[in-house]
Amino acid sequence: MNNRFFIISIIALLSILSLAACGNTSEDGDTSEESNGAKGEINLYTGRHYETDQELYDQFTEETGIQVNVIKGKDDELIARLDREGKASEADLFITADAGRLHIAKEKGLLQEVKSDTVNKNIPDKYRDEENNWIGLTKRARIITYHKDRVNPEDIQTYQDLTSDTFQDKVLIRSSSNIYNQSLLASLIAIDGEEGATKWASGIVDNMARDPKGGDRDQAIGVAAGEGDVAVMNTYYLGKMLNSEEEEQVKAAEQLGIIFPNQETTGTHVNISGIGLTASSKNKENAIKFIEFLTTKSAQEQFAKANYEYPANPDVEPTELLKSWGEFKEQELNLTELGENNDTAIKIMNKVGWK
Amino acid sequence: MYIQIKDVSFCYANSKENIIHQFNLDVTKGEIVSILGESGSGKSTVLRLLSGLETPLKGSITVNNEVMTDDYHFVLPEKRGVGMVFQDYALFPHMTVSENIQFGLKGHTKKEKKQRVDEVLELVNMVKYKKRYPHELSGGQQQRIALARAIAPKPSLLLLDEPFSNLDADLQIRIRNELKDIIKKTGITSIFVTHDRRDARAIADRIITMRDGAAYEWESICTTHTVDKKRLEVIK
Amino acid sequence: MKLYRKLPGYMNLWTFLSLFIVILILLPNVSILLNFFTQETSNWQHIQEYILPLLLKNTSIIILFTGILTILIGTSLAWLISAYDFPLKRFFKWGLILPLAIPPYIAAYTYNGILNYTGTIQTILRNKLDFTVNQDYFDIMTLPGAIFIFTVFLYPYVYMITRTFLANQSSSLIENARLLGGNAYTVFFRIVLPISRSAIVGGVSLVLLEVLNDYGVVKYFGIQTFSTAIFQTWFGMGDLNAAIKLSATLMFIVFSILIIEKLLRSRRRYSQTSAKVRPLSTIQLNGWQRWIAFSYCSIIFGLGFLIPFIQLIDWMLLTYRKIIEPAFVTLIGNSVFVAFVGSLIIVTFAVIIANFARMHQSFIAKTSSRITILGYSIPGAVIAVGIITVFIKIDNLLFGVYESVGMQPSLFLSTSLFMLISAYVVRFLAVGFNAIESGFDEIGSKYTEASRILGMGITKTFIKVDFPLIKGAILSGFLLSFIEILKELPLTLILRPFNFDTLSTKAFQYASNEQIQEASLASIIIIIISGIAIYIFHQVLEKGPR
Repeated sequence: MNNRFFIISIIALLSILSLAACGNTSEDGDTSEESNGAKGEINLYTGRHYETDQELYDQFTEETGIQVNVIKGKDDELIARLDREGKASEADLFITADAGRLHIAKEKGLLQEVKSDTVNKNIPDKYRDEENNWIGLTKRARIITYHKDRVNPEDIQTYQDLTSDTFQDKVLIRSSSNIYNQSLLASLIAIDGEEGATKWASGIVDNMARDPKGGDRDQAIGVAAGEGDVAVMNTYYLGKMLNSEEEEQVKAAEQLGIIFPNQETTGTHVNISGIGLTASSKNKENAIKFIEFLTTKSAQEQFAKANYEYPANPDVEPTELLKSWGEFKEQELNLTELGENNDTAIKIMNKVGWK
Repeated sequence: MYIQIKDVSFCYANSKENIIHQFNLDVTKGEIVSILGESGSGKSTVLRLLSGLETPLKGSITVNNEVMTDDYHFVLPEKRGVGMVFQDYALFPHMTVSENIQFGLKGHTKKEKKQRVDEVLELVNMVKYKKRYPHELSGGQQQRIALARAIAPKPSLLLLDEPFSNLDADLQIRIRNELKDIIKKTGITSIFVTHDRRDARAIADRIITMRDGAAYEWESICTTHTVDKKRLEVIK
Repeated sequence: MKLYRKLPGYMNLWTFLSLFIVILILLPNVSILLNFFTQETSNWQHIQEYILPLLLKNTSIIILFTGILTILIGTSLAWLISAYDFPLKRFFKWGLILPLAIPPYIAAYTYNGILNYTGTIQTILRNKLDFTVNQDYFDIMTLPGAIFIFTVFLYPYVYMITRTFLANQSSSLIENARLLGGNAYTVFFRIVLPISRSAIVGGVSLVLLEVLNDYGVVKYFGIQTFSTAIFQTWFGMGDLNAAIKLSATLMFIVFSILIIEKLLRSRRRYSQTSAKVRPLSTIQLNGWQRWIAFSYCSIIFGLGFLIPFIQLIDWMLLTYRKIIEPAFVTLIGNSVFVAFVGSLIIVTFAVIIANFARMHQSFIAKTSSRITILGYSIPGAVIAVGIITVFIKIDNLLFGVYESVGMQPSLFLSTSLFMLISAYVVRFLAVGFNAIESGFDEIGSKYTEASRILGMGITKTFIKVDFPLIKGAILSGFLLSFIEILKELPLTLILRPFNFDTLSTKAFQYASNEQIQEASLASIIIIIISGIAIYIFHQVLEKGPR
């Protein structure tokens, strides 16, 4: 009886294993057949986790018949995976929500040039890599929010104002492990030089209302709660709070005003979500079709609408909410510099004790 | 000589000193030998070496002219055809009495197996308890089943490790006489280990005592305390 | 000479399989650790100067306090449940394991959601009572907050192991102490704590390994620990070597803990009497005492399960319309499938190694059993990259084979579920192994020896004797691995095949976009499935080893 139980469990184990293997082969078999046909498929690694992205992929499949296979992961780990997989990688495309990461992928030789007039026409030069190794799809601005009752917006017109004595122990910002902050500091390194950026970072640390913690939303909530008066955050998080299911989040967001910093001077820090064509791509043609699709007007409209981001295609209007915040001047900066300065930015943060 | 243990030394993995050192013992066929010793003297280890549960560092063991272990040979415990009654009996808790006894019977038909089970149960006077589970038996009953299980496959050598240590005093006296009868009836060569002189005297044909990991004849210690202790000679 | 003589005892399937498994486990780790022997980089100096002191400080504070608190809570609960009767005790017996069903990072998000300015508590105070509070008192995103999260959601490891120990081993000692007139406090502090030391240490070392490996909680709370620093150096600075050196420092800490644990554990053999297992008789608590016991259990259960669970349900009700979709059935299927297969392989491997290790008290056997813990002590992301490296090597080697069966040479294995499941096995082998090893410990070697002397070989002995006796332990190992895999995140995220989502990746997807409300549905399903597994696990424990 016990004996039988043992044998049964062994058989069960083996059959499950073979099932797993078969399941795999048949899947792979199916897809490779398809790729031989007219339609084909593309494989995508993405660091963006928005439901709305999936809707766009589905739409693409509907229009072209090309299957989009996705692995969602953390940006850095996806780069590590691509790197390890090398030439043999199955991935055709890589999407990530930070220009710095795209640059790192390019530096590691993981990307290749996208040759497409459609893309070049739809997306301005400044949101594309010099060698077209990556293409920006959406923009987000890293802005300052302030409490409408407690802060005079005149006092807080630049990122540099955050370090002024007015905001001693009043600044809320995320930790140094956050990529958006790393990129912000990287941009300041590019503009003000390493010394200026170090001074700025250390001024931020001096003015911090509390140890950095939580996400962007938590910073905004902190301002509403009175833990600090000003916070640094990405535009779309505020958009999401204003449209939250939770009444209290909306109430908190409504107490906040927003500033696009450095309008009179160097411009507001802008980062992009972008896409790259992998060096190892085996479905290059389809992959480029996909990139082209994402830069079209309709796709760009969807991108912008769902996630409160600014479309990279200048012909597409941002949503009403974003428009209500007004137009703004962006940093005059080649976005590759975000990647080049990333390492330095982290080290500065460590040095000045930005936790 | 039926059993020959020659210059065997052994040391447990986590200790530095040899627990068995230059151990020699010969046993003739059908003899019941008792090894008497304090706890920790290594007497149980001798049984483990004989059964193949441990491998000696040095020396050789031969049973019925077949080398069990030396520098070039090692027979695995399951191939030795040795029977053993453990100190706490080690009856398989998930099997009935009859399943326990059948466990060691190999190469028989079902019918033969059943027959053998009945035979040995009769021998130990436990036929009624065939369908019971070990935990439904008293200590003395468990002990008899353990004995029945050990002798069922007709082993060439029977080893008993402190078979009485878990029994009440009066039960112990009753059972040890019974045990001697049973063993004598089967005629199996036996070695049993105990710390109790009375047990040893009651059952054994010959008593061996252990000191510093080696074997000495019981008389040599018993009769003279001052005279130098004569080491048991290999040749008898 | 010695080895030569012992060789015949080694010549069997179990040895070969064990060594094979050990090599499988070692490969991905070695592929990473080889980087350790490279030159120091300038980054490493930077790390030493600016981060390392902080990491050591934070990590030691978290370890120290989480350790002490989980010991106090876990042991006192185990003692209450084992020794006394009070209202709802039968429920608490397994209910107190339930916090294990909630992934700590989800708990961290949830608690912040409850306590922060827009959270339930402050909202009620503000809107209903017009009472605004000092944010500092409600801030959970601090070092003490992290310690709270770890304590409340990981103490069940200590509780489970200690309670099993107390129930089975201690009755005579404790009853003696009672007869000698010791009051409840003396019995607890003078007898219970010292005698269950090895069980407690076993539990607390699992807790500490989980804590050291945590990335989600500390990152969200903005606390720099080894795991955040490893990520930052590796990915942010792109410096694998420095990251490995940090990992090695972490592993040094881990192995110190393990060695201490082993030293303490190895002495248990001497303290364990062979007397029959007899359950501890319980004392009925009266009057106010029973309500104190009841309240204590309720508070812990409330903090560790009920409160976050209710909050998640509340959020789910807010958001489910937006996010529910038929694909959730697939998610559940995927999660359960990988957890099931992974756990099955884990217990199979664990049984093989544990059986091999107990048969031979040799160096090789001992080392093999220690290597199982390797995957548990290295951060998930490091294992992930190690696994990828190995699988790509294998795929490259197999290109010829793929071609010969008419497939295109491609990364077949490394884009299959096979890679993910292998990673689970490397990571959680220790969980299954510990359960099964203690199962073997409990039955001892006498039955095995009896069987072998009765003429059964090792394998037959295993099938007929060992397996039926340790079935419970195997099932426990299976269920614990199952829960771990179900909750697992970093490996699943990076190693999954295309288009493969599980409940935990879904929960993470929302949580990483700061949409914790939307993450609630997937989290709740994880918690319910784990909860069921915990209930079955409890039933297995209750039935006991025999």
